[in-house]
Amino acid sequence: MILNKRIKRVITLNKAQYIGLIFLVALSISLYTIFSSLAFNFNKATSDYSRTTNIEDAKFLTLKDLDINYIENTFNVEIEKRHEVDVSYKSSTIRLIELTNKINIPLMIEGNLIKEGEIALNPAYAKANNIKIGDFIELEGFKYKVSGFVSIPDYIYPTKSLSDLMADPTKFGVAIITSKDILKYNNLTYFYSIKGDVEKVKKYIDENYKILMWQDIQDNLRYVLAKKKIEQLPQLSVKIPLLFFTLTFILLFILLRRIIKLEIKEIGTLYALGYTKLEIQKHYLFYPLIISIIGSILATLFTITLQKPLTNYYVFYFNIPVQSDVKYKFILYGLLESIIILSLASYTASQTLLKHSPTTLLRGKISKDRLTFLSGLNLEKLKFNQKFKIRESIRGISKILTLIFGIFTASTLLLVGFAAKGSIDALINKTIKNTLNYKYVYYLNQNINKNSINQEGFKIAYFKDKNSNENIIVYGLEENTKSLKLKKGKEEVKVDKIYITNSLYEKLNKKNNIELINLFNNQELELKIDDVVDVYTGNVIYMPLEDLNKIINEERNSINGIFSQQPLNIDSKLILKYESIDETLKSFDIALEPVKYMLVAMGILSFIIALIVVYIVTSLIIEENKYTISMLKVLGYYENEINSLMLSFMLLPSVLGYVLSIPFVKGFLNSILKTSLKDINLAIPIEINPIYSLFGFAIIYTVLLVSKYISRKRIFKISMVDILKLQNE
Amino acid sequence: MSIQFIGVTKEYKNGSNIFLALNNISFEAKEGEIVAIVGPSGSGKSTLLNLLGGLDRATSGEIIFDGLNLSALSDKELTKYRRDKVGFVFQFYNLIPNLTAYENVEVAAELNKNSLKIDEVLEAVGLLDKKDKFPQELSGGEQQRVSIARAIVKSPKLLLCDEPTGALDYKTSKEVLELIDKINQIYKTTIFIVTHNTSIASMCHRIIRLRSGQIIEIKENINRISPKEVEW
Ligand SMILES: Nc1ncnc2c1ncn2[C@@H]1O[C@H](COP(=O)(O)OP(=O)(O)O)[C@@H](O)[C@H]1O
Ligand SMILES: [Mg+2]
Repeated sequence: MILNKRIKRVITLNKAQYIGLIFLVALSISLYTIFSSLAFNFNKATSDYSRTTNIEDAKFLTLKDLDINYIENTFNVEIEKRHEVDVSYKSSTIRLIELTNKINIPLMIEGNLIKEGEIALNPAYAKANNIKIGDFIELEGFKYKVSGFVSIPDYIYPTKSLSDLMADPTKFGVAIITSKDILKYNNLTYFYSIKGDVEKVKKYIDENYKILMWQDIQDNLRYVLAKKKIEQLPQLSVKIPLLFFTLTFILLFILLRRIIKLEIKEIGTLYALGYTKLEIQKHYLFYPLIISIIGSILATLFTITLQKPLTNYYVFYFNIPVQSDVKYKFILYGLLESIIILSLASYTASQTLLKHSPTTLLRGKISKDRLTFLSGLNLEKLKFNQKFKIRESIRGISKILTLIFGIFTASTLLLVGFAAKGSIDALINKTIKNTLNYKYVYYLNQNINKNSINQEGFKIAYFKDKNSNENIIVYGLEENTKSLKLKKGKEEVKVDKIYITNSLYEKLNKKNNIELINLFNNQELELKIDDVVDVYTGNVIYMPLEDLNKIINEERNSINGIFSQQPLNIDSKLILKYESIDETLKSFDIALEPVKYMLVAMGILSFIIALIVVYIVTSLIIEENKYTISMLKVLGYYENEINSLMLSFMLLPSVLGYVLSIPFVKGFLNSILKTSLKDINLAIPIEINPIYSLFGFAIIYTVLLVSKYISRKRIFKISMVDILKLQNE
Repeated sequence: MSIQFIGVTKEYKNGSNIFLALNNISFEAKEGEIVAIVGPSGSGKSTLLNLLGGLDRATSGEIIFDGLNLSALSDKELTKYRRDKVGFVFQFYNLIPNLTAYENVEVAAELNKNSLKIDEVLEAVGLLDKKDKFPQELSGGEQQRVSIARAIVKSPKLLLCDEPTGALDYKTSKEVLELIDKINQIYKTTIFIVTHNTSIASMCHRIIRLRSGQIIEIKENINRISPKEVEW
């Protein structure tokens, strides 16, 4: 059909607009596909993971050595003994773990399973310490070849001690070596792992071998935290691209409708020539088809290039092996969605036009310039260019709405990133910098009298919530503690009552009575909570030292921890572990490093989207106002004067679009965090730092400036003579 | 001072075809004159006017007005030339639809510090009472008056009218012509009127006749009549 020869011409004539649309489609589909595939692969990986690793149900330690065979056969469970030893490497610690083959089977993420003389490390540690596959490392006198990177099921999230909040890959890593290799070390410790119906056998073991330590897998944060994070990942990482996907397609719908409507005279001509409505509408369905297909092809390319690095990044962070296959069905969904929505846009646009007679269409306007009630505004007092802008805005309300929505979409993406960063910053500030007023903290392995030292002491005790099984740490503090600043709103509170952290409160959703089980002696007790304090990390309860000592039947003045402003000189046999605030902060920084790259990427992406949207809107404005522009040129206006007359009304709607996106993003993030993040021991306050907000607006403003610069060239190209002639026809 | 066209040619290229819309034309007119440009449709009248108004550039030759050689001006200087010196009136008025009559005049007045008072100009074209009306609320004749007001508000030295009465009825046409004549008398504006109506030419000081891009006659009109007397 001769009609279809036009398509190429129309597209080349308005190539920037079409390229813009195609890019929007491509970005939207590829983001959607990448994250949906990622979620799909992660779901598969997690279900495979627990099956292939045969993760333990509990680990324990006994006074006497077990007769594994006998217990296994009698109780129909699996038991395996596993050795481990901490060795130092440079200034960090590696926990060497014996390779097992029954329970907690390590999975290789990269490289080959170890043989004798070989070692496999967790990837984050390897990366942080610059260790590559094939390297040789020497650990306390024994040399190993690095055969690959590994994920150890009960150490998916490799923290050094169980109470650590964040893993610090520069300081601590885990690795597997063969049984033969590990037995060469002194200082070995071991645990038994058990899998099966644990409850019956636990009693038997305790009676016959005396259990010294027992830890159910649900109490192992190295596994539980990671598992929860991994399970939440799909939700989180699908929701944001899905939101973006929805917003862009609404936007595309609006934009394409406007672009098709510009074809009014062409449609009029075809109509007048005798083409039927149906033929014309079919013709205009080619545009959506072309945009969707090219968009999807581009999306496929984007996806193929980005899927692997992104997956690797997540794998690195979550430490389990995940495939990086692209699930092409998502591209197909995207393509279908694109075709449907854009066809609908094109169909409804041509439908609206074709309701009119060919002669009306040939005039280039379906309705006379309607005078709205707003036209009657008395603008006499204003300066001319203000009047002009107001008149332009009144006429172009729908254009303004398009612009608001476009900027809103771009800003939403931008702000999601900023909010993530801002919230984490706020979290760190609120919890660590504003709450912890000490430099060092020492945990002791026995009670001492608080009066025997001249530092501030505290008691720490470990419980679990009877209903939810959550681990809860209880601190007993001095009433006038100077080391912790607990706040409620603006006011600092004294430790004269029992307080609960915000994060624990949100998780348990109650602050009255909590039934606790003491992890050391399984003793049950009930605690009445008085109030909530503004601490956003940790399942923690704060209470007066004497009260805590009383309920756990310990001596009134006894403590097992010390806060201090400087390193203390204590007998190292007494110390269970010690922490320095500076190092904790550093480990946060390291953990958050990748977030920064994400932010930059999101910033660039939203800049591109905003640019596309603003570009299309400005070119529509210029296209729709060709006559006015050429008249202004005839009158002797310079291009930049015309530019500012025609385009400066865009600033206000852009600001509006940006401002509207702020509460929207807050609400949106709050709702996803409420549903998906509450299991992690963090309650994140959603905050957008004002400086980031300004920076975000600077990005949007730059977009406006760039598009103004581009449109100046377009205005320059409009020929005065040609337009006058066109109008006279 | 005078207006000079010296060997002016305007070519339009259409693929490999070259079309001469103006073919080596030369003429001279005096300042303060009303000059009629007549000729059949397609003879190059509008082209000539557009070149003189700085809307387009000649392919070769020189156009001199007010001591300026238009061919030698940069784009920016050409814009400044239009801004300061030229007023346009078109057959189809070309008003900006979303601005009121007053604001349509103001668009031009903005450009020049020495612009006339907008109300006075609207008064002069007889439209002061309709100044808050939008173009679509005005008749053709009224719109053309607004466009004349817009053209003269910055008191240009040169007023270029391309078939100013082409879309108007007899009575309204005469009113518009009287207005143009009045402007010429009051402000001493040099005026070019393009028309294919020879009768209109009889109110002008000088008549240039074009055919196929060439001048076939230049005549000084000694028996100039007032627009009231023009009949067709
Ligand atoms: N942009 C253009 N491209 C090609 N030919 C043109 C262009 N503009 C005008 N012409 C041709 O130049 C000739 C003169 O045009 P014009 O000056 O508008 O005539 P008039 O105003 O006397 O009717 C016409 O034949 C017209 O077709
Ligand atoms: Mg003409």
